[in-house]
Amino acid sequence: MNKINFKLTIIVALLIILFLFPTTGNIHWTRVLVEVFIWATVSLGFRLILTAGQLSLAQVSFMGLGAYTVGIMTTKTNLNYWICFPLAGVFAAFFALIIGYLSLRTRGIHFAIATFAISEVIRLTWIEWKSLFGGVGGIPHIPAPSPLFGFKFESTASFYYLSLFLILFTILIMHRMDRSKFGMILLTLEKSESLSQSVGINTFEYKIIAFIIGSFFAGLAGGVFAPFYHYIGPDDFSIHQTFYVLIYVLTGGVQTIYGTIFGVFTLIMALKLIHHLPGFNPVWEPLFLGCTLILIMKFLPGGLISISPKRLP
Amino acid sequence: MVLLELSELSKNFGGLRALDKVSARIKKGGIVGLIGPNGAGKTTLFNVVSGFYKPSEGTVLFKEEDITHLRPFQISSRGLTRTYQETNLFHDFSVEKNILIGCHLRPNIGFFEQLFGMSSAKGKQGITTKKIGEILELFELTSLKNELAKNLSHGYQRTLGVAIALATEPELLMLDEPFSGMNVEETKSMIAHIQKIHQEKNLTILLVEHDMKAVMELCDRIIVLNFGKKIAEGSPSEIQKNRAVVEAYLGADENAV
Repeated sequence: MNKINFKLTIIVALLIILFLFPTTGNIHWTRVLVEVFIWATVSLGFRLILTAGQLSLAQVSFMGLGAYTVGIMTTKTNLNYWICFPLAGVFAAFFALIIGYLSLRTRGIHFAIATFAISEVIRLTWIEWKSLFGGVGGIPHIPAPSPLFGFKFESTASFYYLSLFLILFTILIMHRMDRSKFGMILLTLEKSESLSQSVGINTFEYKIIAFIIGSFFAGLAGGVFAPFYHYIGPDDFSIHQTFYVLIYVLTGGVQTIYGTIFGVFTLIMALKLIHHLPGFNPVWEPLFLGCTLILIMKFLPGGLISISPKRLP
Repeated sequence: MVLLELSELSKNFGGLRALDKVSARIKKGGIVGLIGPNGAGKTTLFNVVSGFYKPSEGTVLFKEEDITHLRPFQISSRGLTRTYQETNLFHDFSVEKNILIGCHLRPNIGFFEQLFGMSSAKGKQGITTKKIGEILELFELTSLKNELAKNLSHGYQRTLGVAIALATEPELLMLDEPFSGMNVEETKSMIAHIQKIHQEKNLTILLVEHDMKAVMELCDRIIVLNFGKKIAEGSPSEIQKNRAVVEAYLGADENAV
């Protein structure tokens, strides 16, 4: 009982801090946290697919699909943002259904390569189809979301709350899935797919559902990303970004939701600190992440979260 | 009643004919042994019947339904479950959880029911917990239920493999070398387990095995394969006297004419 109370206290305290953070008025770090929430959402989706034993190298492309959905719809059709935002997730999920149906018959490295190819196809489509996607220039001047219940989305704080709700919603759904029979069966696919099949599990169906849900959350994250930066381009959603997500997840720990979020938080913070170093060169970013990945794989295969003596739920 | 009917089942791997027009009928309620020298096609037959391989020719009927082109999970949901020659378990899960996954099919809980813990799902979970307890009891695994599968001894791992298969509530259980790598004691207790589930659950069992003593003791009917062809079928005593079978195992005696 005491342990549960302890956990609950920590969670409530964390929530209070998170909800009050923008009142400190520190715009720089508020923006950094928005970034953390957005990438944590993408990473949790990525983790779900990874749990089912599939490495999707198109995760950030699905985020891009969501972002472009919002970008195009709000700039070209004047549709209300609050209609476009859920559509960003739905559109990414729909695309995942088609791509998953075609590619999930492959496994392991073959699936990774197939999704890598798909991510390139998507990126090149954005570049080449200029009239719709704006080519390398991307889509500028994406408007801020229209007011919702009188709440205006002009300040950084407003985006902070939008992304905070997104990540809390994602955690809630992911937590339910981890605890359910669905989550347990996903884990079996990675362990022994043949045995899963012979006890009557439709492994293809489970993999495709995981892929769709993971991509859905990537799409939603893209839907917040687009108005937050007011500009999106093909380079925002390249394969490098997917590798960043992969490194965040593996660094934090793929086993738990908290590990994944911790990885995103720690590494994005570390990257921000690196930006402030004298003589900063953008090349340092992948260099730092690459070294982190090697060190983690070598010394902490369970991720940073495996250091903690008492693991959180 | 015929439970499983194979007619003219063939399977080619490139130029190799692993199964050559095998026909057989397995009646409800028996324990049938499938034997033959190495490479005779026994495991291939298992893989074809359980849906992991598609046959090149021929059909498989289970309970008078054509299951030839169904996928493995569809076949096990119809009541035909197999085990594996190699130890195939969810190694990082506890013994109890391994059996829980075996219970996946029955009772069936829908996706949203699972996710949002509806009361109907809770009722079904109660049934499942009871069933897991019974299976643990049956295979004498109760004291090990919280142990991770990978930490079990070989004999217990093999037993757990059968327990998982039984959790799917099959009508026909196909065991691929259930005694492989077991010592005399372990073999004895596995034989006892198989006899027990055969009687208590009214199961039909088809097993592949190299341990002839165990096969002769357990089975009431034996099918012999050699080079993909069925060369004999009959009761254990008939098979022991069958000349083709003896030749397949020991080679033909050139002096005996």
